[in-house]
Amino acid sequence: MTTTPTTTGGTLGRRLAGSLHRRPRLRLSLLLSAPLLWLVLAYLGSLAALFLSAFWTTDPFTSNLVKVWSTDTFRTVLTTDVYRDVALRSIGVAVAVTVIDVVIAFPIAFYTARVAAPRYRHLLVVAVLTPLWASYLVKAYAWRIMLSEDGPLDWALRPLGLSGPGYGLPAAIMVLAYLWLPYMILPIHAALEQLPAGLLDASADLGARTWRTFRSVVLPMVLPSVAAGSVFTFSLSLGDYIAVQIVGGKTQLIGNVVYSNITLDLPLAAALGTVPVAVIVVYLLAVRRTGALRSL
Amino acid sequence: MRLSRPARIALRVAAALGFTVIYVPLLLVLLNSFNAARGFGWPPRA
Repeated sequence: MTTTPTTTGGTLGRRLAGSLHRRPRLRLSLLLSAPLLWLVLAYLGSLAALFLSAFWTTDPFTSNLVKVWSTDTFRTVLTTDVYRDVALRSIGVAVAVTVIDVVIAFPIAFYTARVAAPRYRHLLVVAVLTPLWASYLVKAYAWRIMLSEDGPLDWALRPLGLSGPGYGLPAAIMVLAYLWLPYMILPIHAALEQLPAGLLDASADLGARTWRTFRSVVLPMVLPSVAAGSVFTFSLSLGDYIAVQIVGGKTQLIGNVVYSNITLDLPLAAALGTVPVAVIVVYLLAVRRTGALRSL
Repeated sequence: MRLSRPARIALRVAAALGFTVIYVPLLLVLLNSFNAARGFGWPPRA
């Protein structure tokens, strides 16, 4: 009788594999434990730390942290006009960016998904994705150049007797809309691409014109994807402070106020930082009702 | 969806404008990398 030589490691590995094969729950737990641990510690842990530090206060004379439980900072954020204005302005900017992105993204996505020749569609998707490979800062500074006095935008608009908006709130909205546009185009493109041609043909056969088909068939089916794209554009705009710092002039959004207070008054920065988190949670709950989260 | 010819042209123009908006800032960075001046000036000096 002959025996097959096996190493101890190989036998142990085989036994372990067999044991895990018989216990699918244990296998799943072991597979998920590392990413879950990372998610809980690094992501939720940092959010929890942010939230907890919002309940501390700062000594007004020494600027040292006073680690005593208090809701004073939240009261300051909610009752001070400046902070309320900054929060409302930030939400307004996020909404404006989302609306602009929907308006620009829809025709682009419609063209890339339904009008362009099928052999060019993938190339056009790549063309939408390519700007995401460029650095965020490069794009933001490119816009700073575009919007500068006597810059390309002024130069292009001068023959029409117009001038660019310069640096300020409109510039910040324009740049944020530009930065997050691919995140809106891609989900709409995917939804339009998956739209069954039979449905559109049936609508046309039943006598519906193009606009009616768009309103009654295309739009309701694409709406969850628009909402999915808006999750990106809204949340990314709400927390941004770098683009606002580069082109926003004196504009202050929540991100800028958090950034400028992080070393001076950590509890205030933390309390302000919880505002976008709370707004995004409410937004996600609202968007979930449209079924948009299944389109992500 | 059977799009009319004007609708197809309008979509083509809108998409072209959209892609222009996407790529002009990136082309500007590329163009500016050839600018002989140290500071930014428009149009860039050869």
